[in-house]
Amino acid sequence: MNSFIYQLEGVYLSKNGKDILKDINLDIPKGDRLSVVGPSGSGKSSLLRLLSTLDSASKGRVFYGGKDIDTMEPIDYRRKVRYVFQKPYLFGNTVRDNLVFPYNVMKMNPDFDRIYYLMDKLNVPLDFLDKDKDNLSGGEQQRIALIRSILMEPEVLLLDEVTASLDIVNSKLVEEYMIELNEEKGMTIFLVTHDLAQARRWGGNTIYLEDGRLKHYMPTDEFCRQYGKDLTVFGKRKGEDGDE
Amino acid sequence: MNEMTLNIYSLMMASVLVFISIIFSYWQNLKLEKDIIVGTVRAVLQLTAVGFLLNYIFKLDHWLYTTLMMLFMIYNASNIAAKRGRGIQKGKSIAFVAIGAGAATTLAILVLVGAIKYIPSEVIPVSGMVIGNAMVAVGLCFRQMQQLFADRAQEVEIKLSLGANEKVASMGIIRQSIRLAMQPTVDSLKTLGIVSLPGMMTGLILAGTPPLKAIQYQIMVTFMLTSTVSIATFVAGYLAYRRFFNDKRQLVNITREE
Repeated sequence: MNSFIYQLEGVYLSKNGKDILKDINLDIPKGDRLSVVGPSGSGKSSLLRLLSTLDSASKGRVFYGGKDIDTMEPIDYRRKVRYVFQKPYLFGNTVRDNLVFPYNVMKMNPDFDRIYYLMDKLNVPLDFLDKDKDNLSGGEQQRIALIRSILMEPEVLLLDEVTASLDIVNSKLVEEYMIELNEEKGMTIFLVTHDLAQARRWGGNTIYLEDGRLKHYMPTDEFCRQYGKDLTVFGKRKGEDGDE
Repeated sequence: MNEMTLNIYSLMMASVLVFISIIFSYWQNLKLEKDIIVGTVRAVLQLTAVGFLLNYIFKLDHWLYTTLMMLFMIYNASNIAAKRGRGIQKGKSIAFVAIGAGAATTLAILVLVGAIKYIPSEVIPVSGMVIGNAMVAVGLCFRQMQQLFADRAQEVEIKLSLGANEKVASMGIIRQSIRLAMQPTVDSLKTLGIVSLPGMMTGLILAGTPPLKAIQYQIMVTFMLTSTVSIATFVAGYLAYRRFFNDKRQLVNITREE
């Protein structure tokens, strides 16, 4: 068995003739918990889109559990790897439409015990199930989008700044539950963040990207110790207040 | 049937009406004078050529030439419909299949129930109407689809990332595109006779057919247009959505050129 969930070999991602990711080489062990940090436009979201197979490498190869991602059936792969977008987006009319969708896709009957369990876990009132999606706050929508992605307990979770629209209480609640999923279920989780304090709480390892290149991949506490004072690595401008 | 009062002399006098448009365009600086002149000359030449061609085909009265004429009309219609969805790969082929399916089904039913005979003088004018309407509807369907895939790209990608296939991820867009493309036909059903007296009925009445008889024809035309438009947009919608994805089941960026 391959102990790496992802192996990236000389990966480039191009869009409109411009390289967004350049020569990324990376081995990610199964069950890793990762912060993905870097200045705005450094390729953080592009890396997650690549790993979610919504985009493909223009050069190089990506292996998932030792298998070339290009040889895998995208639908099977995406059922193991879930991507939660930065901007919360709910479809259909109600919260229910969103939470039964992953079951419908798998042609399964919705497991409402699990839906209620996760709603409770992520502080979404249970009577929200039939609530119109347009009457929800951005934070509520993001927590529902997150539930929608973890209902089927994927092997990998790709979180793109998912706590950006949450208040500090709910942000910590989400973080704690994601850490629980990582530690107890062995789920590999990537978290794009601009928040130094969050990266510290998150722990695990940090991927630092700059101008589309991988600059560092190291334990988060070591990364924060070495680079934590330079807030530009978290996408902040010089002089802008940090989170601590 | 009464003899029509229209002759070549009165038709030429009626061309004065076009000058009203030209004068209006010049006066209001709409810069449409050239387009109006070119459009008018083209319309006269095309219709005259078609008149001779139809005259010839009517005289031949052979099913093969009638069918070839219909295929020629469908081919032209699909080229025009595909322009509305420029950027959609194989748009012309999709439009050809969609318009062809709509027209063929409707004509087959009309012939089978005895509403029309498969002779050029009946099939070709009816085909012209159904193909023309299907062309507009398929063009609208393509246009809507491009717009909706651009507007709702995130929704489609979220559904793909939740393990949905392309059809499930696009279902809302397919249905909305078909509905919006059918809307003008459905709306016109409601206003027939109240707001508009459709072309065919007007033509028959002008040619001396009693209004009650003309209405019967118009009702048949209404049924056949509704059926053709539904079939054509359904086929177009369900064939075209695939063109918004690549073989890796990723949403591809199709830029509207119009």
